[in-house]
Amino acid sequence: MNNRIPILDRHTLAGRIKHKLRIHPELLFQIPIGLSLILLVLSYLPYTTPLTHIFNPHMAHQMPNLPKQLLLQMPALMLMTLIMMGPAALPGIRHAGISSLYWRRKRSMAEYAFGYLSCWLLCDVLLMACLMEFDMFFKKYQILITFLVISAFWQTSFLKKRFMEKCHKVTNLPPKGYRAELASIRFGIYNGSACVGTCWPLMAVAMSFTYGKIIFILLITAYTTIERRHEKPGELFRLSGIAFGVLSVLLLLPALL
Amino acid sequence: MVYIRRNIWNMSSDDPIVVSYANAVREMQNRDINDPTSWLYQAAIHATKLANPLSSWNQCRHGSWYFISWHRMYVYFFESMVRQIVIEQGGPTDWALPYWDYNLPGQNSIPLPFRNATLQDGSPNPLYVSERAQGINSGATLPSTITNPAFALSRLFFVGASEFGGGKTDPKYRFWSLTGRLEQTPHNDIHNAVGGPFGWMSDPATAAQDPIFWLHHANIDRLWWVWQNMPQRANPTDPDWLNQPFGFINTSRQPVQITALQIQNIVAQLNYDYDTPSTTGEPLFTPPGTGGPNDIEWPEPWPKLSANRFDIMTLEETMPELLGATNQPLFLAEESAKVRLSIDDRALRHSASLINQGQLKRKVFLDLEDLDAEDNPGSIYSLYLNLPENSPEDVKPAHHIGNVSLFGVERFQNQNDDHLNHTFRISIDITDFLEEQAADHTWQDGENIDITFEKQSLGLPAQSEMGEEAASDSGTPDTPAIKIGRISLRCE
Ligand SMILES: [Cu+2]
Repeated sequence: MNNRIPILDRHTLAGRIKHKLRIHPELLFQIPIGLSLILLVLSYLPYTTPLTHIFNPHMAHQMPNLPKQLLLQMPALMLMTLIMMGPAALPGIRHAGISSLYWRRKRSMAEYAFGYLSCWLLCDVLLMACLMEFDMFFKKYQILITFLVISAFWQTSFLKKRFMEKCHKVTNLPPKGYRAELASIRFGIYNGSACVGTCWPLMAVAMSFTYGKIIFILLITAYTTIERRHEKPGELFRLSGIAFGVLSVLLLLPALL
Repeated sequence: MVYIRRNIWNMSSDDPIVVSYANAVREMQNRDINDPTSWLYQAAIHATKLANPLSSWNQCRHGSWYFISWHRMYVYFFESMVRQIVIEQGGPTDWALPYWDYNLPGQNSIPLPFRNATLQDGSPNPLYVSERAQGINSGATLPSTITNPAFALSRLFFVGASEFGGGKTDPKYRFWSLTGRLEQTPHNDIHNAVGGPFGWMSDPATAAQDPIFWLHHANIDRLWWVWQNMPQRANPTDPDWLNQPFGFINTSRQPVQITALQIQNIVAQLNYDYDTPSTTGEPLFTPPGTGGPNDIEWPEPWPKLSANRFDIMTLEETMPELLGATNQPLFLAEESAKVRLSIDDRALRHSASLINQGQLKRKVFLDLEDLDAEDNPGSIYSLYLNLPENSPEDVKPAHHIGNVSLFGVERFQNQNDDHLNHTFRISIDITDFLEEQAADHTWQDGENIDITFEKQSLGLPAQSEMGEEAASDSGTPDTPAIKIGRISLRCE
């Protein structure tokens, strides 16, 4: 047995971390997600500008040059996406990793993450552009409530279920060569586009919140993480649909009174 | 008293055990579905397609380490219910469920009492079901590749997808994909072979409506008992397996709960036994390549493996290491297919040289990943490892490593069921095969592994004996292909 992979000393912290990473290579990707979260929370401390204000469509549209504004929003949008949708990508990243030859495990996971995030980035830009347009014609709360109502319906719809199935499906991963690289990216895009399909209204709601945005971001993060890992997400869909419905009514009440 | 489950093939069609089983089945079929002692209710406990199922229905466990134990409980409660009805009808008071050991010579076709649509007096035969694979009711024979439990029995460990009993799963989920070797072969394969593409036995939701289901499961249960009594084997000691309660209905129509701890010993705890010599230590079969029937008492671990050779670690502690995989999915529809897997040399160097002085350093597994089909095609394919081109039939058994059949695949497509997070897969430990082949030079290059798939078909009787079945046969419709997303080699 002398040729086995060396046994790590699990009495030291470094050894334990290394061991954990060997078994769960996807945890590496937890780091950027964690950092984004810290950055977001820090920005809410006194005397700082909450990062979430940067990508506030309301502020953004007051400035000319929409494409340039969109570009400026990108880092913050990326951050928000990483926090909210990153944890849901971990199972897929893991699959890409452990289904690959050891020497292209990290590369395969990175390619998957790239494909996955690209889908979200595209969705973010489109949503943001739409929100900026809407903001010129509607009040903020009207946009928010509209998206909350859309979410409530979307969560309980047949389409959501269909997309969710694709979120969990895997695609073929050849072992090596250009085919392997393309396949990892394609796998990321396959799951990523399905994830955009299931969760785009949640992203739209998060974007259109002005006050208490961070709380909503954290709630959505918790929700998508559980939803991705839940074995019978159908139950969650119904519950969350009701929650969105109730929330939209609550927000609508003061406006009506 | 201890009830003895006897081999059905040793009974004549007018044996009181057979006749009273038929009478009890007829009686149960006449009872209302809401009566727990009715035929449909009993079958629905396994699974049903009926809308608004009762809470006691749809309870079966498959692709899991609970498969074997859950079915022992299920068959036990069914048997006591049938016995009660048999006694009510004046049948033998020591009635026990017979079993069908399809692996014995001359017994690899459906037992005679199940074949004819009518009984001698012209009344319908309750044991007959027309929804079976073409040829089954005419006595078509099952190939030994699917009836032989030798590989399953050779596994020393219970827990694990490539071991005897199946992988550890959450008790909530009814269909998982950590199918143990006994569950695959003979269990799943026999379901498919008897049911064919459209029959009841091929679908978990209808399987238990076929009276042969119970004899098949009695045999699976018997094989577990055989395995339990073989040296070096032991049932799981994990409390999650031992103490998990499952609900059933007893003969007084009352709900009861039972755990695996209460069914460990069929004689002492459940008052039944099998008539086979298995429990007295005589050989049931000869594993290929281990000499004649006289030199072994028990089927040897096949070919050879000692429990301590590999330090066994759980998945939590090891990282499975991919050694090679196919580039494209494989679609199985033709009679045969061949796939070559190249072992990646960097992976090989990293994970230690596989072979060193005729011994493998680590366990090697063949994984069939992401299996799928539109519907269960009812087909069964055998897998052969490094089988030379145009090998004669007698060479094949030494290369046979297992089968693929998709009993239960429908459940993986049901979006309301619980299969979002995994796909159907089959894992086979090929360590010993590779080692044997390296030792006797049938596997020489050490870099490539060839897998041959061959469709298994029933030995159909002559047209003249097929009777009605032959007449109704107007060409078999195309069976859907089995898709294997990826075939890969992994070491642990
Ligand atoms: Cu079964």
